Amino acid sequence: MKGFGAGRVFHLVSPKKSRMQSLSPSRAVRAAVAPLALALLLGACSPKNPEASKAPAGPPGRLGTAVVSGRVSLAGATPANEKVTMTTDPFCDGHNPGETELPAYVVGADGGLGNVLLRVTEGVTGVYAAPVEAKQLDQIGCAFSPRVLALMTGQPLDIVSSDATLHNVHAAAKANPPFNLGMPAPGTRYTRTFEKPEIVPFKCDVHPWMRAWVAVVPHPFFAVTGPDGRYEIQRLPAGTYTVEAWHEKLPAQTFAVTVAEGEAASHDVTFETSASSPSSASPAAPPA
Amino acid sequence: MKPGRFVRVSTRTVAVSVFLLLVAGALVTSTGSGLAVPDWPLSYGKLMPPMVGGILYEHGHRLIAATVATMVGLQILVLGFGRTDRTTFRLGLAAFGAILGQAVLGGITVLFLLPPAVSSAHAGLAQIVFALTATIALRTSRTWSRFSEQAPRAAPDPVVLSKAYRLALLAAGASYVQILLGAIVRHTGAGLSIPDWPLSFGKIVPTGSDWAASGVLAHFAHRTFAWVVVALVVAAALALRKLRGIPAFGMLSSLWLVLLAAQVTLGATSVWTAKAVAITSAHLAVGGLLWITGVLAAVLLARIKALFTAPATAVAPAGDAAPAAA
Repeated sequence: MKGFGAGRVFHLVSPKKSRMQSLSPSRAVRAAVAPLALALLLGACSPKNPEASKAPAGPPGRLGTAVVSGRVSLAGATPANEKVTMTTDPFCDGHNPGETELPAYVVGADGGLGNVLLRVTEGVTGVYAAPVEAKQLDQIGCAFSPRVLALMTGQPLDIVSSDATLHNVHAAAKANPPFNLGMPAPGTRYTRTFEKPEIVPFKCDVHPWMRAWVAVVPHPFFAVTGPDGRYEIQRLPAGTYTVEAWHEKLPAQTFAVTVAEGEAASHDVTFETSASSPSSASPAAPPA
Repeated sequence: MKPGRFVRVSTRTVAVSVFLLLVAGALVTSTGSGLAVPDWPLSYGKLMPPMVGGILYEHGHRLIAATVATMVGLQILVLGFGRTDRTTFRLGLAAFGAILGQAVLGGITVLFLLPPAVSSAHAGLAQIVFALTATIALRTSRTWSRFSEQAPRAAPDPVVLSKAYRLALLAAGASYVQILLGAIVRHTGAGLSIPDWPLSFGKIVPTGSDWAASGVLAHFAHRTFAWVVVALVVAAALALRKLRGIPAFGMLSSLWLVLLAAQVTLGATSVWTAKAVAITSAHLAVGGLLWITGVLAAVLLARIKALFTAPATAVAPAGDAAPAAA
């Protein structure tokens, strides 16, 4: 079995003459087939996912000593997480018997909100080299772990499965080439890189409740909150920055922060919810 | 010579099998399992992976498709040796070619991660295969032979006949266009782009910023064109009722209207239930039946028209038998 990885480009070849045309069973059949052939041709000729361009060349980015940290919390009633049963796969059902709550809202006892991505969206200059250390996205107990992960453009992402059941890892990337990998056995591992910044939704089509988001950031100034809602963005050079707080179901927020070298600035973020927030609301559209 | 019982049963079985394959395909998209198996033609490198989660639907669809494609291939032999006419034999060849093309489209759409154009073409070609096999089943049926051998109790009014034929053609054509629009809605994920029904965003026609949302244009085109299909199918069904002396058309007309009512209800219910799997799958299946009813009505009417307007050339002559080589 072979996966279809990022960066692979395929070319469709439209048939010169279909078998049906040569048979010409009737005019009616030909008339019906013609729009189909056109649709296929259009599909074949539509632009394919281009090879992701390499990171733009430019002056190297600078690391500093400033830190921005804080806490992300949820105010208002916590929306109920969607509950699913996993009876379609005995392995998953064995690990998660009965109803399982999907961890879209990870809220601590004091209102801290986990799985929130914080990334600097404005104020960073220069080009930052990607770390060679890979980040890891695992599949354990029929769930992606972690659910929200951030890495730099060009940084390797190890996609692994620890489960003794079949998974597929479908990265519905838009700026980068999408891919769909089969994970037939525990220990299966693929390594992929993303060359363009975006938040890539990951899913398993075998187990439709499995979701993850991989944020690709062109610099190292990002963080993901833990279950207590705390975050820390380190090594910022002195400057004024716009920071975005992104959650899979809530509208993103931004705030501005100015830091000097060696300074530790604090900024808390609060997401407001209403009691009527539907638990099954569509995920927030990942920004580019 | 009319085809024997074996031919009649075989062709009918093939047509019903193709319909079941359509339903299996509908379940794949309705459950979001189209990419549950990432490789093709094998499934996770095997002929038979564990049938868990979405693999049950996707690989199940592949297994049914392989079986039905084999049946459509064997049908060529049945038609060749079963004293069918040349046109029916050619339709059998066309059906086999189409289902092979359908398999290739299915593979391409998996390998290219479900591009909407390819997935929609896959959905559209499926209905062509259904139409071809249903037409073959009709042409080998007793009803067809009866029209060849016995004139209706009274010659139909040629004007009424021509009008019914034109309306049936139009209704079938409109049903097919609607199927393609529905395929675009389904494969671009636009099924809930307009969240209410019968109004659209609380209005008759979406306005201003409503159109900015993804999929609204395709969805609105699908639900608007539905009323064109309703008008044409009702007109064609009523025209069929005017063909006195041919009882088959009275039944076909009633069936057509029942299917139409069911289809509109299923379309509305798809929106109201936020695309419940059973409802959206049934919507696709009944859409296929609606289209096939139009096709079969048009084919039958064309046959009767030929018998009454140019009997010397329209009735299958002896030389129209299947080629001996088949």
